[in-house]
Amino acid sequence: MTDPVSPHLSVFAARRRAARLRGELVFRLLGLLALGLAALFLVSLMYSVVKKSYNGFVQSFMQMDVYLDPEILKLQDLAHYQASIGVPEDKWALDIEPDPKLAKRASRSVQRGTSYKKMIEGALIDEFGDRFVGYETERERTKAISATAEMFSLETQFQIRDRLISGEYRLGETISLWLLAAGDADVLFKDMKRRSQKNLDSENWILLKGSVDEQGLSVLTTLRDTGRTRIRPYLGFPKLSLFGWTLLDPQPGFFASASSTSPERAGIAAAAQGTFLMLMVVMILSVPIGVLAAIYLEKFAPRNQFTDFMEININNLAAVPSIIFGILGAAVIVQWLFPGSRGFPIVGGTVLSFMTLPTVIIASRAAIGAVPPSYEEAALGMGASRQQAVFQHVLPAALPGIASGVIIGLAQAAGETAPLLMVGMNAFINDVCDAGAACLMSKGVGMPSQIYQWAADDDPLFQNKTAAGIVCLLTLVITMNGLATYIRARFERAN
Amino acid sequence: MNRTSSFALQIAFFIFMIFGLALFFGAYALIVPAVIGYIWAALAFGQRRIRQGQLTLEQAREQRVNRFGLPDLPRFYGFLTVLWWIVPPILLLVLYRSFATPVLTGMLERETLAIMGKSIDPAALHQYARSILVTLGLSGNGTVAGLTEAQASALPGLEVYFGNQHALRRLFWFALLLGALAFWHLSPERFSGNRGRVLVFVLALVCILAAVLSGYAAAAIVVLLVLAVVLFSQEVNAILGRALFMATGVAVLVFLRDQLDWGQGGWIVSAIVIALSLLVLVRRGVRPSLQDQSFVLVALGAAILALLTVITWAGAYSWLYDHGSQALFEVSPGNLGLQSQKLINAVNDLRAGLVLKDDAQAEAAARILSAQNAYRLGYLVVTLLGVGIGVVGSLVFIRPVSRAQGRHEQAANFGMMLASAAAILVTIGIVLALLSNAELFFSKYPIQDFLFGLHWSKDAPIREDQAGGFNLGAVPVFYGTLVVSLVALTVALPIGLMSAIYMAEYAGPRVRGIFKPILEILAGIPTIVYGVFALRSGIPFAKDVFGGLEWVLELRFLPVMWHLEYLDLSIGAKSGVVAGAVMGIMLIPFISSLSDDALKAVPRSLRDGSLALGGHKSETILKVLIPAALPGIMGGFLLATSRAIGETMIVVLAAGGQANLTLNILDQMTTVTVQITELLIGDAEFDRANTLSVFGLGMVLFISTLLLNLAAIQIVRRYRQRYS
Repeated sequence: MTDPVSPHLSVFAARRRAARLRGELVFRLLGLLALGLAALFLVSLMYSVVKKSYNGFVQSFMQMDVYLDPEILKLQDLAHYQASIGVPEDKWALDIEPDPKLAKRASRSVQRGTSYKKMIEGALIDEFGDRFVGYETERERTKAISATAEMFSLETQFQIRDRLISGEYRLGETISLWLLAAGDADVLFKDMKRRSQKNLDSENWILLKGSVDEQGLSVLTTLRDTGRTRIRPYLGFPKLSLFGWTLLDPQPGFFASASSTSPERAGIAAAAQGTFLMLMVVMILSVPIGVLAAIYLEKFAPRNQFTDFMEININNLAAVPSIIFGILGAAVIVQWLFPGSRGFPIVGGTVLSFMTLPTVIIASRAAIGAVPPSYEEAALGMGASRQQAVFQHVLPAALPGIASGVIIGLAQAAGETAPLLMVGMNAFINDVCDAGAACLMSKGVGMPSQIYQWAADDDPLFQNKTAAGIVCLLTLVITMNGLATYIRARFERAN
Repeated sequence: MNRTSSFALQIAFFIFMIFGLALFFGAYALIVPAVIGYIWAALAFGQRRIRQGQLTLEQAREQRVNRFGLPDLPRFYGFLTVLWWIVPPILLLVLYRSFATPVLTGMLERETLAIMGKSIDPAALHQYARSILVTLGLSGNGTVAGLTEAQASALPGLEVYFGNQHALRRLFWFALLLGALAFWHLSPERFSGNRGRVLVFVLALVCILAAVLSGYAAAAIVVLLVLAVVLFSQEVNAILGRALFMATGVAVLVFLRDQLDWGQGGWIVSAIVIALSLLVLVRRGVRPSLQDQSFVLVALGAAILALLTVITWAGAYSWLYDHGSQALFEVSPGNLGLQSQKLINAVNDLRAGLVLKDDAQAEAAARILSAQNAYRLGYLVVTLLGVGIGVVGSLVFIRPVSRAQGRHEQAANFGMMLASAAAILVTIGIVLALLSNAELFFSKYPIQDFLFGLHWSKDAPIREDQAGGFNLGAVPVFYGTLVVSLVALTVALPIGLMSAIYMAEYAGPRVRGIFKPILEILAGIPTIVYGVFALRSGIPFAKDVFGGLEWVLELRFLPVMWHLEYLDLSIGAKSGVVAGAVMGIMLIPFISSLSDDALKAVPRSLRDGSLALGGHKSETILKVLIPAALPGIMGGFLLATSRAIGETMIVVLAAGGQANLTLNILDQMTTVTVQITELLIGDAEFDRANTLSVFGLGMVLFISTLLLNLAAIQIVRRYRQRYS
């Protein structure tokens, strides 16, 4: 090859050519830059979410030696309570004759949460009693100790209670426990770990100042310095039961609990259940209607102005903002048709299926249209009616495409927030519904609206929980989208 | 398949439909007419064929068709098989009743005696004990509060009783599961021949076992009947197989429905059953074959009528309670809902044979009970009538010459039309909801003040008599929406368009393999995630960036910059520009995919022409492709605008709720969607002008997006026509 610049070119022409080549290069680089920016946005989004979510999945635990004081909770009360709820006799705290008269009183004293908090306070006094000095009155000292005991999550009290009842712990024992830290303490420990420093700086001070005093803080730092704190995943899993048998014992943790006012106890389970229920409703409502409508519009509808109108209407509906569907749900379903149904997953699911319907119709139409006409013609040639040809030959061939459209629609519905807020599915739900199908008709919350609730809270641990919730939602949505892409790819190869 | 046996199968399926309905709604009365209808139809059909001379008796004998129109089997064989089906379940039933029930009931009686201090009708014991356990919240996890001593002492016994019941049920679970698994392997061949009979036998046994043990003896009888048909008709086609499968599915679901404590397990099982039956339906073809269409008509006729009666019944049932609690309310006033609940308890107690203490309650409950009984009778009669009319009416249409297929297809066509109309119904619903309420709003607040007013503060007055606590001039809101959308489009349009161009024209398979999934993932991320990203990462980032720009404000060397002191570069907790920018990121894949479509639709000849004239790739793109694809790209742009206007979560979280009519886009801005969300969140009562303004805003939002969408759709359509 010779030099590409022809000798016949004038200087100007050569310059212009160079400019054009430069322009080409710049344009190409601009394109690459655009793609790079898109990738950068995705990476920074994912990075910020995943990084923050780590602290949402792990929690701090503190080790304490807790003396299960029989002075605080009477042996007799516990035993009577155990007897009344049918705990095996060899686990009872005391060998007693079950007496229903005492059972009622016992139940009240066993259920009382303060007993267990007192035990933790006792453990604090036993070990760090000498730290709590310099108070003017004894009352102030008690208050300070109580505030420090509140650095242990409420969950620990339930834990001690439940294990005492089941007979795993015995009253009168001193047991060494890893206790879940409350939100403030948890944030403190995580921050200390991140900065790998032993002393507190001013920022942490301010955070904790409202809850514990200097002495309490010194207790926490001592615990941390002596290696008696640890940060561990706190995932848990919900109760899974089949045929009345519990398959796995539920473990407390992020995947097992509902929302809570204390961030360390907040979990995604109730929201995941709500989203699952709503997706069920969406599937039942929008899939059959959407697919039938698509078949009709693609194969049977006469071409006239009315079908034109229908088509435009469906295309428009697909682009109507989701919040409008929310207004529809709030005004028509909640306010007018079924008053009192505010916040029910069945209402949320219905509104979401209105929204998914056009997506399903459009995707199904595309899939049906992509089936080669020879399928239908061959069936017609063999004497099948049009309906037979469509239902028995075209539809099965279009099924993968329809399935991928449906899954994309479901993924959209799973991530949609605004309509849920409109129909009241952002209530504070602190209990995972345990009533099976009846959960459809009790106040619920969806994963996106749960994330919205947490996102509005400035507590650092709630922000981490937000990110953790987002990771769960993204996993769900991206998996569904990936599945749809996979199905579509296979479908395209098959045709 | 000859027509007669097909007819028998059709009828069998029809019975199954009714059977399923009956089970699901607890309307056992439907079973009787189903059976009668079947026998009558079979008889009439066979005799008609003989009478009409289509079939002489000799021919019938030759074809081994009996006078029922069914293929004839040796009589002895038929008896034997029927015996086979009937004996085991009856034996089981007898065994269960004679051994297990007295023991358990005795136990229950003792425990209830301990609770009540008196004995009650044994037949109502089970129901009553269960209701005790449920009221005490004891059926699941054992936390008790507020028990009387007698109750507390009786509880362990009750637990044992129900534990035994559960143990029995667990047995059926496995039987059912086994049945469901077996049905998975349905195919016509499997049911033919002796091997098929054995299989059917096993399946049916499972069905019957489950039905009998879970208390659905009537269901067992129906299964028996159908099986008899199966054996008489000699061949079983896929439809009957599917019918059996569906019946099992229905039985399982009914069973689940009756379990108060079905937990997640029940969900899993019902999901599996539904999925399996759908799969079977899909894999074996969605529709019955040609000959089977007349039965669909019969079934449809009967089912619709049956459904109607069942629905009316359910409606009247709840009316009954409302009526009763109204009566109770009159006697002893209080919370109506509470009274209604009390009443239901009272009626249950009364039926359980208890004497009620409260006279008012007792009277109301007695009234309801008698009304209930009368109503039940009426229900039976109405249902019988409805089903009878449905069956007879549909059967009239079925003749050997009747065009079942055509009619069936007409019905299917109608169903599909209804489904397509659903989308229109949704639109109509939206328009009506918005229009009617917006009218109400504009009657309370003048439309011109709303559309052109410059001041927006939506908070309601603190006292009722306080005038004008809120101003609903929406211009600041519209302005904010526009600004945020503009920022979003400024970010999204160049990046989206350029990435589409690069992907379509330059990228090799490797680059495409990397960036296509990235764009797809970006497209799939829910908006709430973008919102949280904007709030928690975007705003701090913007604070840093604009904070770092403060030195610009210090520059004074040009006269223009003397005014810089009026500029404020600080970013608060919320910011319009951040929300807009993040929304832009969200729109990138949207614009990219729409532009990609538009670019791909440009005919190859245009591109080739430009390249042949010596144009570079970039020149071809800029001067030929983009002008040619411009309408398509415009359409995409309009759709993106409509999405930006309607986007909610990003602006709710990051743009703020304060309506500022300001040029400083770093400041808080509010949008239409934010205002709607803030007004409707919580328990909104639609009676005040400020809450009703949601519909004014919604109307504006809907109309503007509608116009944008329509324009986009029109442009894209024209564009497509141009090149195809």
